[in-house]
Amino acid sequence: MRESGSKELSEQQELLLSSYVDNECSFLSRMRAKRLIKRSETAKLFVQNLKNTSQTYRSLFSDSSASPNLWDKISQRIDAEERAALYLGQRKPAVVERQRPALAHFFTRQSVIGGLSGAAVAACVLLLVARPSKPGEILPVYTGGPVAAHNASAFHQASLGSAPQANLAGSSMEVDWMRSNGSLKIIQNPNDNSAIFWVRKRSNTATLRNQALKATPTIRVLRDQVLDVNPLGTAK
Amino acid sequence: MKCCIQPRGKTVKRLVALFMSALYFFPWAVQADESCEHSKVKVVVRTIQATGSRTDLTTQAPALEDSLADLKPQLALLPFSNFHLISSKEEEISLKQKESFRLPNGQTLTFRPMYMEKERVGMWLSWKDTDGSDILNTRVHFDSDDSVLTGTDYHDNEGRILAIRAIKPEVDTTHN
Repeated sequence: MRESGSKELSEQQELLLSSYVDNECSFLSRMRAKRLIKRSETAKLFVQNLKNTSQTYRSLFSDSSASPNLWDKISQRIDAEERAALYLGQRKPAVVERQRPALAHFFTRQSVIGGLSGAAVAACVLLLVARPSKPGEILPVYTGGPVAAHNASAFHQASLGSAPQANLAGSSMEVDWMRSNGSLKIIQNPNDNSAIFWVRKRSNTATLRNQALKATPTIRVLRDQVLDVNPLGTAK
Repeated sequence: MKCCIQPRGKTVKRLVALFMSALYFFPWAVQADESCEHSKVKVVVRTIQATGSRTDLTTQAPALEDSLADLKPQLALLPFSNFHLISSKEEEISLKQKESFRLPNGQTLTFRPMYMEKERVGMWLSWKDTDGSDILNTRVHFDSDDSVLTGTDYHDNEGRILAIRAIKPEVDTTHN
């Protein structure tokens, strides 16, 4: 154990001084600590720092515990939660709520009648057959299999270009989302308010299914081209 | 006195909650009843075989059977020369009920009509291949007068097309 003259305290000396500051040491330890403080400037500084730190924490603790605003806020929050629970039911984790068939049924009905989820559904609704076009026009073509189903916004962008003309013809078909393991084409009928969804199946489904998961869906809009006149079998 | 006030307060709270709940659900319940005006939908699925090829879609007209005459504008867009009705199935399905059709080539078509309001139909469709993979999985909204057409290539130089209609059960479907 280093005594006076040393600039650094050993671990045992620091423990001894900590116990002394906390008033948790025995009579002999107290005597040793006092002697160490008396002889060593480092020990004196260490004890002073400990007391300052302790004082700071105590003041902080006493301030927070004495703050009436905090408890008021907590009480208000508890009251608010109770009121919310009374009107809306108890809070539960979202995962558990999804597993409740009654709630799932509720949301299904909501989406059907365009209730609360109507806005979310409307955001991804696509107006497909809504504008005059050239014969055999292929509106959007996108590949990517399962990934494509989650890329409705990009698909929407492809059809937004025709939005000014959409009101002229009126729309008859809306698509919320679409998913396919093959290459999907929307072929618009220029004379009738309808469309054909054409799926070109992939030759190797298993391999390409994995590719589709990794690949970013791509969109091509062939506005001025007629439908490929090659037989579908030879075009593979 | 205090013990009498507190339960009364709770009762009032419960009554208010009940009232608020009723207010929240009332318009929704009314709408739901309106949407259930037609609880059943008649779904007609026609399976069409497309063969041959056309080089000029604008001048050459495809050969259609009479039963497919109503689909001529749409089928004319496809580069096939002959369209033949393989099968036609129709079934009344309750709204929100899932129903599966097995197609002649072993593929399955599953759909769930979501609503039918004012000649407008919302439907989830799942067309699966024989290996279970998705040929098409979509949710569409369309007029009951229209047919949703979807097709895929089937063997060489051949296509398989599904024409799906959803109409009110009361409506006569003589053209099918």
